[in-house]
Amino acid sequence: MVLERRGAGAMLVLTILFILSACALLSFREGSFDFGTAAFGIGAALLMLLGYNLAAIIFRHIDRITLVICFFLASVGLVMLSRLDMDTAVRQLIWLAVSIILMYIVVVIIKRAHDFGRLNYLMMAGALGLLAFAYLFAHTKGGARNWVSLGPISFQPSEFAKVLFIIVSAYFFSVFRGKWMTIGYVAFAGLSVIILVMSNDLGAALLFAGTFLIMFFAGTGRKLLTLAGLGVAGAGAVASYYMFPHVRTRVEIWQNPWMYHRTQGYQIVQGLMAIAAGGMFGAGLGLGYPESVPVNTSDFIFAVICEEFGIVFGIITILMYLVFIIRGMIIAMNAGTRFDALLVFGATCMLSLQSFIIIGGVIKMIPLTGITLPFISAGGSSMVACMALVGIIEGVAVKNGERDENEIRKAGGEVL
Amino acid sequence: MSSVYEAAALTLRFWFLIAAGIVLLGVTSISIKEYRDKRYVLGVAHSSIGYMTILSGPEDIMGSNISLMNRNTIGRSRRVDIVLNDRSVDKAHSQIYKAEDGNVYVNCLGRGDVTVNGHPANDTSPIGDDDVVCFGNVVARIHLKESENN
Repeated sequence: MVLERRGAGAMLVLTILFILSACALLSFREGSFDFGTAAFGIGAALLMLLGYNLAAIIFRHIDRITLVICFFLASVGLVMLSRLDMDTAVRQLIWLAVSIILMYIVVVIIKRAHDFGRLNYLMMAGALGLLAFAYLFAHTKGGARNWVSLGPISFQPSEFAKVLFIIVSAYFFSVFRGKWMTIGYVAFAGLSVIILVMSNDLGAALLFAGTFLIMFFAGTGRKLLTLAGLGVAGAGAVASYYMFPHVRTRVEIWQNPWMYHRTQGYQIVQGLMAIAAGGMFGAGLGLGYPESVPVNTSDFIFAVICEEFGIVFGIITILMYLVFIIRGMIIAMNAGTRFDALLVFGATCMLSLQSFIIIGGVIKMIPLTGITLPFISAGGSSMVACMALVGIIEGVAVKNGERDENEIRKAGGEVL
Repeated sequence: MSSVYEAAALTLRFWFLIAAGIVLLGVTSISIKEYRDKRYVLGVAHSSIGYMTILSGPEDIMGSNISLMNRNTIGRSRRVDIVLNDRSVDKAHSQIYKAEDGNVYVNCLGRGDVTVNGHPANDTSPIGDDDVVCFGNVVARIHLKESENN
C-alpha cells in the first residue's frame, strides 16, 4: 500500500520553461540581445527551482501542487513585469525570494502552533493598530489612503493586517465562549472594515467583510445570522454609496465607464480595450500597448496579461486560482482541528476573494476597487502577505500529511 | 521592432498557451488522482488492524509489508485476501482475524503448517504485536496497531 505523490515537479519544470522562453524572447525585443532580461529569467527560474526543492526537502508533506500553482502565477507576473519595467520586475523577484523564506517560517510556526491562545488578543490589537496607523499616517495612492512610508521603505499595512485578521477569526470561530467574546470579535471585524472604508481602501474593505461573512458561515453554520450579516453588509454598502462621494463615483463608473472614458472611467475603459485588442490568443509578448493601461503593473496587470497572452490565457489564469481554491478546501477538510480547518479556509477564501474582486473589477463584472492580484501584481507587501497566507495553508497541509503518513505506516504502507 | 521578433512573438504565444494549458491540466489531473488515491489508501489504513512483514518466503514479496484487515484469508490461491505464492502454502492455508473479544487470532484452514513463535497454532491461537507467524515456509512478523494489541 503506497501513496504516491508524483507529477508536481514536471509542472514546475514547465513553469520554468515558460519563464525562460518568455525572457529569452523579451531579451531580443530591442533588436539586440539584452543580457539583463535573460539574466532575470535565469534568476527567476533558479529561485523557483530552489524555493520548491528546499520546501520539499525541509517539509516532506508540503502541498507541492499548491506551491507550483503559486509559482506559476508568480512567473506570469514576473514575465509581464519584466516586459513592462525591469526595475519593478527585479524588485518583485527580490520580494518573491523574501516571501518564500517568510513562507517557510510561517509553515514552521503553524506546524507547531495549537491556536495561539491569548496571543490572538495581541494580534487583534496589532491588526487594528496597523489599519489605524494607515488611516492616520498613510499617503494616498490610486485613490486609497493605504501606503505608509518609513524612510526609504513604503508598505501597505492593510496587507499585513489581512494575515492577522485570518488567524484571529479562525481562533474566535473555533473557541467561541460567551457573548462578550462574540461581541468583541464582531466589533473587531466591523471596526476593521469601517477603518478601511474611511481610508478609501474599498477593495480591502470588501475583502475583509467578505472573508468575515464566509468564515462566519463556515465557523458557526448559522444561515439566518449569515444572511443577516449579508444584509448588514449590503445596507452598509448602500449607506456608503450615499455617504461617500468616492463610492458613488465607483458605482457610476462601473455602470457606464464609457461616459467617463476621459476622466474617472479611463482605467476601466483602457483595460477593457486592451483585453479586446489582445483577442483570444493575444497580440504576442512585447507586441501589445500596455503603456496605455494605467496601473499596469499592479491593479490592471490582468488586462495587460490578456492583451499580450490572450483571453484564453487569462481564463487559464482564473482556472489556476480555482484549482488553488479547491486544493485549499481539501486541506481545510482534512485538518485535524477546527482552528486549523478555519485557518486554511480563511486564508483560501481571502486569496480567492481578492482575485475575484480585482479580476471582476478589471473586466467590469463588479465595481472596480484597487487591490492587487495575488502572486501576480507588483508589490512587496502584497507578495509577502500572499505568501504568508500560503504558509498558513502549507503549515496545515504539513500537519495533515504527517498525521496521514503515521496512519498509513501503522497499516504497513508508505508515502512516496 | 524587427519583423523576426514579431514572427517569433506571434509563434511563441501558442507555446505559452500550450505550456499554461498543460500546467493547468497537469495540476488538475494530479489533484484528482491524489485525492482518489489518498481516500483509498487512508480508507484501507483506517480499517486496518496492522500489518505483517514477510521475513522469508517468495522473493517477490520478501521484506514487503501487507496490511491486515479485520478478517484475512491467506493462501496460494488467487481467491484469498493475501496471496503467498509458495509451494509450502496451501491454496487456502490460514486466516488471521479480529474476534469479538478484541483479540487477533490465527487459525489453520488447510493441512499446511501454521506456527506462532515456533509453536504449532491450533484453531484459535492468539497473536500479538511482534509475534512471528509461519505459513508453511513463509515467515512473517506481525505488527498490530496499539488499539489492537491486547
